[in-house]
Amino acid sequence: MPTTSAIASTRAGSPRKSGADPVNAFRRRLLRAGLAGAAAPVLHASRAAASAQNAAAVSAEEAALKAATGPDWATWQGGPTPALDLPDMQGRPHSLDEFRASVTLVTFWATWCAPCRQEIPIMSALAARYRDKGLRLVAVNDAEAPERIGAFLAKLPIGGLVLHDRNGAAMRGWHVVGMPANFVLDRNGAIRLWHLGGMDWTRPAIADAVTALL
Amino acid sequence: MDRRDFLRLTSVAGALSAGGLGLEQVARAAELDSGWRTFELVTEIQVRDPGKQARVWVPVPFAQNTGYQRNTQTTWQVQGQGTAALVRVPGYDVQTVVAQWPDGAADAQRSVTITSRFQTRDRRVDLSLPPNRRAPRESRETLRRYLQPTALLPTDGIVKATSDQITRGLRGNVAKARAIYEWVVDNTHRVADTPGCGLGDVRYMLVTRNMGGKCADISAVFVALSRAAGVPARDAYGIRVADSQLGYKSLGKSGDVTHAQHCRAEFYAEGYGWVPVDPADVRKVMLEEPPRNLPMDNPQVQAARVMLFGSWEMNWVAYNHGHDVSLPGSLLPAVPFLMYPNGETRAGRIDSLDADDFRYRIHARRVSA
Repeated sequence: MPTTSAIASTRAGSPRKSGADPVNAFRRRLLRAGLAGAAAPVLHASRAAASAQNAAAVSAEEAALKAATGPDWATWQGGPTPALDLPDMQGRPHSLDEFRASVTLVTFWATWCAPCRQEIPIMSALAARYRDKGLRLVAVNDAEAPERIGAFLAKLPIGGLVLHDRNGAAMRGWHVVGMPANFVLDRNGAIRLWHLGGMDWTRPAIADAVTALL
Repeated sequence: MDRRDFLRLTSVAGALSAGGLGLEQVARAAELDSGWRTFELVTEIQVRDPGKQARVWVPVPFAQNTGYQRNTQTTWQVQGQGTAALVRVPGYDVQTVVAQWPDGAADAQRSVTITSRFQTRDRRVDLSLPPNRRAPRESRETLRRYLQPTALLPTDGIVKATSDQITRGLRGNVAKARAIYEWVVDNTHRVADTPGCGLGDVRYMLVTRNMGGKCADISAVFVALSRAAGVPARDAYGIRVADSQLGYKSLGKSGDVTHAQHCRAEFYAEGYGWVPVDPADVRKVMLEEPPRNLPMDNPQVQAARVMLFGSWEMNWVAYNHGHDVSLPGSLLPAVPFLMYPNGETRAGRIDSLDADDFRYRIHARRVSA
């Protein structure tokens, strides 16, 4: 089964950042949210203090990244749930509002991602098994051509809603820097758990962490 | 150097290595081809996406003359009442042909053919010689730029810590860059399934210890670690245009080079100028050179490892050194780098790595000896 070594980096062509808001700045903003809440604004901090603060923030960011790529789910500390306003493969718009009152497993995937291909059938089966209790699966494709996605789904159907992140906006918003990227949302729509890279779904603890929220 | 010469070099290198002499000394003795060769690179694009306001950005070889690449001329032909222009992107001096079509153009006619002619000559900086006061000098402003972090090349946190660990006790840019190069070769690996050339998210790679990828990943690790050590360094994005003359099947491509994009790296040292390196191609030789999965102590791998610190075989052409490239006229965020044709319509971005669906083809041929 995949471990952290099975993490697929995101693709080179993905528009994951802008000059004004590069991915690292965005990532840090997300990952530092916990620190920012604890630290009062320092309007006249000395350069040394600012440097120390930045170092602490980088350290926190790297700790969060390490936790999210470990063998288990990591607790989400990135703040409010980002938007997920994307079309499905037929072009119909969707948002997370449709999944309020459900526990939602959001997975970012791509056809080239080997761990994604391993996990999608397992997550699909899990969503089907617990559908009556309110578990839903949302699978967000990373900017691939509709023809390629369609050919993939014909061979490996996904038991949930497939969304198309054509321009990478959701990728950026959800801090997806590796694939697969999985998030578990509670019935209030808040992200509770996340993970980057493949996980060993044969371990009961992985699925149990999801179903515990039902 | 022809194939026989290279094979002779590798066998000698293996023997001398066993005898205690450095492979570098052997490689230093090898003469790379010093003659200029002329190539033609043709990119044919047909926008298949049915969306309106179709626009493409195609990287082209850089225009300034260097000791290894010169006389670039780029022309284009646009069908379907489209227009095109050669545009220079501010910042890193990235050049791209931008083509666009009116909404009334039939899908089948939204095509453009871009032809670049240029000359290349194998490149080698002899690091065994002492620094030369007459070596090419780079401006301070440029060197400062290539010490800065970028979105995917941070120079703090784990990157700085790793760089400090590698270069501890070393003095001078050549010694530091060499140590980083050896570390990168030893600690990365090529993953065939990586889409395109990879991305090069260095912090992610180091934190997760997921050091697999392709050239954009491996070169980025070298560049970020070098910058963190205070050594100016930069990626060089380009494409292979000919088979290798050094006996490596894995290090060349001619004819259909649609998927032959390749990223290399350079560092700067006073008295030497910009020094070419290519740690990613060492790992490519290990993975792909027949019979494949070669060990590090294989003579061909060892020879490549020596050769690719200080030289580039120029069966490849450089497009640019750009990071975080804002495509002129695009309403979408910047791309990490411009090494593939990019495109978008009003419906959104076109997958730049999916040449079949985009659709594009790139051909390279040598024009004259």
